[in-house]
Amino acid sequence: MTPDGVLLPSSLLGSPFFAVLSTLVALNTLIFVTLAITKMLPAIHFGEVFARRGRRKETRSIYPDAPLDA
Amino acid sequence: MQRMQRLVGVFVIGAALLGAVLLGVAVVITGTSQVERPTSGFLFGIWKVVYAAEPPSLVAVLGAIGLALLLAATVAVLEERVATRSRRSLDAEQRPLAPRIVMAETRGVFAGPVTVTVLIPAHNEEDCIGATIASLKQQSRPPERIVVVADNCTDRTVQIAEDAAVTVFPTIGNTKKKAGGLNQALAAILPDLGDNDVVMVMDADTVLDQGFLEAAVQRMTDDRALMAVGGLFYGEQGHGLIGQFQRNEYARYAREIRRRRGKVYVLTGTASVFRPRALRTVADERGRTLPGVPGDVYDTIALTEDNELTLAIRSLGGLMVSPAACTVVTELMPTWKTLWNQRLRWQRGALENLGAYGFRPSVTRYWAQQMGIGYGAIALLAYFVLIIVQLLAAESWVWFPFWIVIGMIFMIERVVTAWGGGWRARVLGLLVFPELFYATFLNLVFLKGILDISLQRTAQWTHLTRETAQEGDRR
Repeated sequence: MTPDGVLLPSSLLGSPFFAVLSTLVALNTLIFVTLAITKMLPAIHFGEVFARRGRRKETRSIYPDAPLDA
Repeated sequence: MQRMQRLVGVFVIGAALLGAVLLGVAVVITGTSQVERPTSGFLFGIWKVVYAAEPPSLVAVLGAIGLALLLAATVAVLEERVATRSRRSLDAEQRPLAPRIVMAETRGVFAGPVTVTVLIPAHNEEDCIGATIASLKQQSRPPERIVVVADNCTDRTVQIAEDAAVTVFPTIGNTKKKAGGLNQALAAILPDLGDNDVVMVMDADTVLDQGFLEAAVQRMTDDRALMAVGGLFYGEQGHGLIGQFQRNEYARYAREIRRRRGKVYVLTGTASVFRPRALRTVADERGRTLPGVPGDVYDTIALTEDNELTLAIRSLGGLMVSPAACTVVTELMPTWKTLWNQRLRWQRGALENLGAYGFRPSVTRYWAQQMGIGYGAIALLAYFVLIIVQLLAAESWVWFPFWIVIGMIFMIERVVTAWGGGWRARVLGLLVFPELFYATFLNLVFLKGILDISLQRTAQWTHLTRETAQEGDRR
């Protein structure tokens, strides 16, 4: 049989193997592109969004009488 | 311990493979859409193209996006939970370095202003030790004391250090390389240090950026519960394309840490500052809640002792940060061979450390990272197989507009995330494929690391360790 492609028979592209592989790669690509987009966008820090000012009750400075930082 | 070490490799790659198989089974069960027959048309009226314009089904797209977000959120939530529990912990047995415990013990006590003692482990470093000492003295806030830990030096290292008027601490009978030398020096120095007399450990061939020590001292002054300040490293100039790959990688790492508001993954061995309490507590806990020999600060068995110390402090509940102002230039591997050896050592070291720490909550993120790399390796391999089969079996080149758009998003991401590395970094990122091949190289290192640890290839490893130790071990 002479392959229609460069080296492999073009019927391979219609095989269940190829369908599963291409779907798997498609899903993976979409997973990774989603992660890539989340890395591009500014990071959200929920802790800071909901942080209340002056949450600290005491100073954390090494100087015991240092002012509280908010 | 040996059996556990073996299981780490099996577990990591097993979990990644299971993920891929499960996704594959889900694809088969839900039925795959047959590949659409491409159509041909003319672009701009002259260029004949064969294309398949159909995008994947909406369910597949939403499912994949949902899965990705779910995975990312799960890791983030778990990490946040671990951090919050440490912050609020009052369990002095399990988390003696937890902020509330440290704060309670130091409340109302002034242990003096922050002083800095720098330890420089050196083994025949005559070429660079002079510049390192000079760079320290030129810092806007120079250290109070510089100690060169001279480990079996046979060159002029000691002479140069003495000429520069810094303390030389010669190791005695040390066979445990850098970690062993540092343990000896710390055992001598730590007992005399107060709570605010911080210790910086830095490599002999590292140069700190201006402002590093000033920023670190400020952090240690502002927060008495802070146990360590790590350096953010970026790659030196030079070494052509292989150098640029590494610089891009480090630029992205630095960006990621900045996005995390300085929350560290690894306290770099090139330059990190520690509060004595952290080092003493780690030494006390070795052989108890931490792996290693009782009394040792650094675990001499660990291949990547900086990574191990990070896990140790994290496990004890200690707060750590890598501020954006604390940057150091790090050495790059000049050849593929040396890069392979360096990364294999990091990879093997990371896996061994995970084996030593097991499944405790404090190392959840590190397990997730390893499994993520494993899955990434499988996914990239599948992608290459698909492309090659398609190229060899297709009658003609087929364009997929949907995937071209996706590819463009990747291009943008590569550029945006490497932006801080300068225009060379951006151009390399824009090309996407060179970095994909670099990723494949790192994936091969990952697989080799997994294979080595699973088969317990120690004999071969000993040889490799000696080789890489000479090539320099940066992190």
